[in-house]
Amino acid sequence: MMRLNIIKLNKIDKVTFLTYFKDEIQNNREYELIKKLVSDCNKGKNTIYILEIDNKKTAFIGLSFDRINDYPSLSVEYLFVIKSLRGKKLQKFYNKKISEILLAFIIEEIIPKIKEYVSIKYLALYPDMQNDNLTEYYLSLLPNAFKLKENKETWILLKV
Amino acid sequence: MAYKWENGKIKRVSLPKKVSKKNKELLEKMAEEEVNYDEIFSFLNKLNIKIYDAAEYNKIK
Repeated sequence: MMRLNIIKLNKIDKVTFLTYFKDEIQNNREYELIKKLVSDCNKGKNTIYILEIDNKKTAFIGLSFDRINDYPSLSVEYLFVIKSLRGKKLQKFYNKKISEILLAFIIEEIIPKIKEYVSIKYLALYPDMQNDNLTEYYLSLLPNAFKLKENKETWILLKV
Repeated sequence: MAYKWENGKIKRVSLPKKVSKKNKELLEKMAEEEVNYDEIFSFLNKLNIKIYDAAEYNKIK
């Protein structure tokens, strides 16, 4: 059986982190976004959770608090899956994609723990580049998620 | 907060603090929803994922 670990990070060695993922990053834009996410993590603006499969780091997600119309929310700052596994349904993981596993874990394990101490009403995602396909993908992945468009920005929200 | 790429630069983007009446009604309606995520994400139980904080993880490595 494969070993899956999630590691919570509040401080990251940026160079080591970027070097680890360098061959699995799609382009310069993605590289810059990850660099920014890591810098913000080191400034305490977000928390990063890394998914490791059999000691190989395969994905990570950055989370922070926000509010929508006074509803406390957890916002996905960035979700990254290594290039070689992106978009792939993995048979050994019951035909789930890595992004699905990571989001499900956040919803099922992390959010209930936070909610023991503070209220959260929504999980929010901002589809990268406001891409329609990605928006539809998140909507299909997360039952009861809905699209909210405000000020020309589209968000995906999920009651948690 | 999230990130967006605009004219070659990264910007942080926040959730809207005030929304339209239509969206407000939508948020109010959805806030009442009860969803059984245990059932939806039941596959997680089979994966047996362990969670660590960084310090704890470094000790077992």
